[in-house]
Amino acid sequence: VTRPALASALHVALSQPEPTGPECYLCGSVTGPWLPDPSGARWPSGAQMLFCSRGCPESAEDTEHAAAKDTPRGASTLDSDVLGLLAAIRDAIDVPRAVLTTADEEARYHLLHQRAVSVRIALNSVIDRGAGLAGVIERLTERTADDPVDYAVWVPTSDGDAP
Amino acid sequence: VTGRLPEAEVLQPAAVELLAAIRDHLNLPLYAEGDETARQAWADLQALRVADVVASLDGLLTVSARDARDVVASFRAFAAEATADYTTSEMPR
Repeated sequence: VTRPALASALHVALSQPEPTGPECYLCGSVTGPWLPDPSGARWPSGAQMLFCSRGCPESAEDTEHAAAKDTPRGASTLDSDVLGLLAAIRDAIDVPRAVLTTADEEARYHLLHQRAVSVRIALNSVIDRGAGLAGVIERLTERTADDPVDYAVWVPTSDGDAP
Repeated sequence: VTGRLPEAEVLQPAAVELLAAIRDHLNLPLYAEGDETARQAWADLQALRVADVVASLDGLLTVSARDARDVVASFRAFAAEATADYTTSEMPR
């Protein structure tokens, strides 16, 4: 989907009633996983507009996005210690959503930045300096713990309200 | 992919390429100081890139069958789409 096409889709979506829960604004899928639209567009309530991160389920040809993920194929080519590092990276940057206040969203942005820097430092150690994976994983895990979530976390409600 | 690895820590080429791609994906130019629009665009792009990395790692780790080279290609395609289109700082990252 091209940027003009996405912009058009956003325009159309915004002319419709806001969904009551998180769903893809392109296809209406409520199963996810989703990503926020790159434009940062939000619904009138302030909730981020989302799209299917792995392609919409029924019209993949029409809605395929650069972020779309293929279904798994082939065998994993990675060693277990590399997978351990990848898990530590995911744990570092998979921070929870913040409630919809400016202060909490800013705090989340700040934490994301801190955690991303920690990951980049870890990867520099491995790629450029040949550091051992076990030590890198240990240090990354420690740095992640040193930068805890310090904002109000959004908790899904029973009616599926998006943040 | 740049840099070198001592023989004792040689990783699979696919692993090195993947790790380098993750590093590149998380490495955004800083916004111009004092430019609130650029700062917000930077924050949004960072969140988007991070979400993409998390989704890809979920695919690798929970399904554990996805080829790392597919993830690298996905990162590159995504980065080409979601670029830093804000005013950047002259300062090093």
